Amino acid sequence: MPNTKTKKTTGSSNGAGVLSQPNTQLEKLFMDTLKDIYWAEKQLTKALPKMQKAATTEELKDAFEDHLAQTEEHVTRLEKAFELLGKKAQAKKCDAMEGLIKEAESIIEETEEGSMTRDAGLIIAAQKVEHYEIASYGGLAQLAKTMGHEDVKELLGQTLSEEKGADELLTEIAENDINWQAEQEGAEDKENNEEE
Amino acid sequence: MKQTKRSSAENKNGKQQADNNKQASNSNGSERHESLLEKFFIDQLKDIYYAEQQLVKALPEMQKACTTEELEDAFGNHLKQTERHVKRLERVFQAIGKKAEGKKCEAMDGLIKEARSIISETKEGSMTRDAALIIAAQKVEHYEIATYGGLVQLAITMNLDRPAEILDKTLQEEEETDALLTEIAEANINIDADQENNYSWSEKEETTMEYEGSANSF
Repeated sequence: MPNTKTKKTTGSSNGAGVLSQPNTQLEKLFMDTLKDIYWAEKQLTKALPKMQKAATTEELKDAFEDHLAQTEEHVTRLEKAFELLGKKAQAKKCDAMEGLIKEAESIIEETEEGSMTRDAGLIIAAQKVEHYEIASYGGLAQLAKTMGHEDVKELLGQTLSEEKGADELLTEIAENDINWQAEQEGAEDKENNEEE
Repeated sequence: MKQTKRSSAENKNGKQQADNNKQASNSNGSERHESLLEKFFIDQLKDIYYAEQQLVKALPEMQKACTTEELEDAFGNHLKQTERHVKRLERVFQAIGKKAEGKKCEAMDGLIKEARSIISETKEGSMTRDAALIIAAQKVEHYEIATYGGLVQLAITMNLDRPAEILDKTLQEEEETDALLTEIAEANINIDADQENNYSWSEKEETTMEYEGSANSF
């Protein structure tokens, strides 16, 4: 079909019920993206307890614990979205999320236990995960809206704003406290070296 | 001098200092007195340096796969921007007296793999492909936003004013790109992709003949 690089017209509004016609291209994309984030959220419920355990400060431990509870809710919400669309909840391996979690694990390996630098590292790793989710849910909510699925869009939008909230909270924790203490940690090391 | 200090400390705190020695020799041997946070900062810098370089390779493929000129242009512009980001990172390395070096970044590898599989899973010339490419590109942007955001914050903490400024400039551009992609998706592509459902492939050719000035959000 010679239809490359042409701009297409935006015809009359299509409205709801798109997903009742199975296997349209956009529906397939939407379902694939939904399966991808479903896999990602489930993986995150496994990774967060490890990150929590590895964290140095109580503050970050608490933040990860709260986010774990939230993430479990996000999984449930996704199952509800699948249900609303008349589909079985299914996960699809997501290479990006796997990489993000690997990165978090290697940060744990590469930083010293009990150091503030580990927390600074864990925060950035967690923020990368949050941003992955923000991009996914943002895209999904937009697609759900386009396809006229207001109820699904609502659910996804709710999670989207929680992910944004989690990202902001992590920034706050880093700015207020952890990064400065990690910087001090460096200074102490230097001082100790100087003394000897 | 510094070397003697380190070895005397090693007696006191053997394992930790041995680790530090290992880290120092990993990065050229000449770099001493690197605090843990500095080391982490440099690691993140290497990570995003690798990521941006990979993106320079991936964007032309994504551009070639686009259906609409609008998205093709957006990727073209972002490619030029990304090349500037690479140069900026080199300036940051220089500013802190380090050699510019990339470090394999699993997350970015995964993101690019995802973009490639989206290309192979969607039909050439379809609007759905563009909708999918936009989401893939936004995931990449968000990875970069999180990374640059963290780097700026760390640079500020460590009083690296100039690197903080340079990194922040890129951060702003990544945020703008993300917003632009959302605009393109919302204004046009997603709706067209949805419309696509109503057309059979043979009918679709007719609709592509009609041009409309609605796609001028770029």
